[in-house]
Amino acid sequence: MLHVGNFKSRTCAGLNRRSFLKLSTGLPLAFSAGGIPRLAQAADERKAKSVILLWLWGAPSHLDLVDPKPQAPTEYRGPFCPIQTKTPGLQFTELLPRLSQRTDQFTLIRSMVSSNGGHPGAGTVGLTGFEESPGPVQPNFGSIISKSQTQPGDLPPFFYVGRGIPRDLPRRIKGYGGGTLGPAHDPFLVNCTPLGEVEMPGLRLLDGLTPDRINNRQDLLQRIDGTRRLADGSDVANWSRVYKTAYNLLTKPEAVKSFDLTEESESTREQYGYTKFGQSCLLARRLVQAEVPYIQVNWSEYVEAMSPGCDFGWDTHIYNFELLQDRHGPVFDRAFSALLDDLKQRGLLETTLVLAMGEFGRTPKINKRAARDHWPRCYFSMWAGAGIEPGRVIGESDRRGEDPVTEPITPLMVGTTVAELCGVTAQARAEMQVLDGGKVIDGLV
Amino acid sequence: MHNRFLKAGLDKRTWIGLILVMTTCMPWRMTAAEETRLTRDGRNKRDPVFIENGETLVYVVDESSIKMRMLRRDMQTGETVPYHKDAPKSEFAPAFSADGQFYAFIQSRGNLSLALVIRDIQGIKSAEVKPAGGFSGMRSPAISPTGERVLYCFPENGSQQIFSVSMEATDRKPLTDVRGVDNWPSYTPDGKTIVFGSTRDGNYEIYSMTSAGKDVRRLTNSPMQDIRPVISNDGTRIAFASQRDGNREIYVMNLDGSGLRRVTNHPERDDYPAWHPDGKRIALVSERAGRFDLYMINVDP
Repeated sequence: MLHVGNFKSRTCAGLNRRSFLKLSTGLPLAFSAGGIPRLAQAADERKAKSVILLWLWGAPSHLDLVDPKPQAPTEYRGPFCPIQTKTPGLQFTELLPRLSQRTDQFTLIRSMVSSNGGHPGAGTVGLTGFEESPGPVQPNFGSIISKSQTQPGDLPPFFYVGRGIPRDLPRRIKGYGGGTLGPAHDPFLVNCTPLGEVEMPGLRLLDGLTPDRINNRQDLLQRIDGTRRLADGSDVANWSRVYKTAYNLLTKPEAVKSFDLTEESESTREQYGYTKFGQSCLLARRLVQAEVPYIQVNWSEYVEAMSPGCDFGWDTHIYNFELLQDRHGPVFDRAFSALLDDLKQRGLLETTLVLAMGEFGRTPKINKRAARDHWPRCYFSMWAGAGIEPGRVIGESDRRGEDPVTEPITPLMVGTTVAELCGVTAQARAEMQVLDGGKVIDGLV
Repeated sequence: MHNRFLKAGLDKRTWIGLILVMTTCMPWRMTAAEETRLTRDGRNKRDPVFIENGETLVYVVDESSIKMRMLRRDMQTGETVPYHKDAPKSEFAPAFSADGQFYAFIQSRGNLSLALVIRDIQGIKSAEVKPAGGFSGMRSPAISPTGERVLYCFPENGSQQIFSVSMEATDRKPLTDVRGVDNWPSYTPDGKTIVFGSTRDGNYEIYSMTSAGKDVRRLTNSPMQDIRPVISNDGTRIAFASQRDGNREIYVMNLDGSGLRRVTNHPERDDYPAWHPDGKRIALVSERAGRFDLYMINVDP
């Protein structure tokens, strides 16, 4: 089931007669990602034709998942039992039994560090490589990949799969989108429910616009243009892209089908699990098949783990052990494992980079509420596909998981490595004035 | 007399014997044939508990991506309605008194701030243990069989203890004082014994103690999680969830930890056991094919 705006429309046989389109005043933000590429790149240089970033918003505990410290003092180590993985000498906790049997498919980095210990700020650092600035922030890694595209596809080049722009209760992160590259490279937002229903908040439906009329380009253009005039202060230059994306979504069945998870076999959908994150990962895989270059799957919109109106992020200042064992750990374990298996079975893993990380780690020392707080000094990321040699561990944390004892790996290095794998060369990055000073992570590529 | 059994080369007694052996001894015995699926919506669920002599099952479901809600299911008709008609914020971990007159639950109040609420079922009396300052939340209430005290868990100074309060949420008394996380207290029907989970020895195990917090005994010993112990209504057995065989399954043991046996066997998670008052059945949340639903299984005495 596809929800275009607030309307449910079966898409197996294309849009039905009652479906119609209206672009809301919020559309400039939502649709501005359909960029016309400007920078040339050689497609055959790319190891990664697509990137899926699993953004574990709120910051998961490294000690409770992939870097257990069973020899650490009681007030550090936590209650979860370490289990052996497929990689000799590498242990995960019992919360990740599936991933522990798939460590031969990815490489783990245990020496990540962030320069920022607050969510919105660290989110910007984690997604752009740089701290927030008073003016436009540096672009999201996905926006850089979006800008570098030479062959515009039917779909926008940079997707967010999630409820909204990542945020905490006070504010959104600044580094969510195009930044200095402009709003044309903001992500296109789609949301996926636990049952796999896809919603596009940027679209609204309006009586009177039938598929036949959608095929009348002039009619559609007039409607979009009419809505544009309602959008106070919108970026007029983006509207050709808005038009193109809306037109493609509503008139090209193959483009719309990318969002229809009922096209998948039941067994495939089950493998991912009927959770919001699980079905979102499946949607990401379908977008890879549609040759979307960059998909960021957001675990949640809000970081807060247990707060009214918030959607169970990883920010477990309280209930850390309960939430990780009952909800976060099993859901992540299942969905990430299914994604790796699925991409591999379809021959897509070789050309798809899959990356999972949060904005920082959590305190190795258990806090007064028997949980864990923010910890930017040490955390983890997981890398698979696109030429990443799997089955390895890069970096090491100290005996309490407080600091790396090897070279710290920064988000700027993450972004630079992603760009290199996607064929965005140092010269191209310099022309875009992005990822300045970044270097590729040693030993990963 | 010859019949089709004899034609097959086996006499009637042998066939009957074979069928009996297959139906009583084979490993798939505790699967579909003896379970009942109670829900079919597949949404994430937790915390089932029987009330009203087993005629009603109260449980918690992810009503949306931002809210957990308590529901009540009529076991005869299957009709399911919200336990509280108006519940704007997440509510979970319901617990009921033996006489069904009072209940307690955890209610989300603010940013990382959760209260323990104690009410009578008419909604006339209500008391609460409010969250402490900063980020804090109560856990896992249990009401004493006499209906005089409510247990709950709360973390302080890096460890989580079991506390007891009056039905008016006053007179707070700690029952445990250990380094580690104590959780999921459950009373025996006579109110003399409490079983609970604790990490005091390094990982989650099941323990018992007197209602005064004395004479603590460890009942399980597994390197993996043993969690959520629940005592049967006759007070003789404990059901709990454990990861000891690689994924989460339901186990039953005697009150002293003897007689351990596994009662579910499924490659996905089985969790949140709840005894039916008849002591012969357990409701649980089972993840099957990626969906979460309530099931009822039979359990031998």
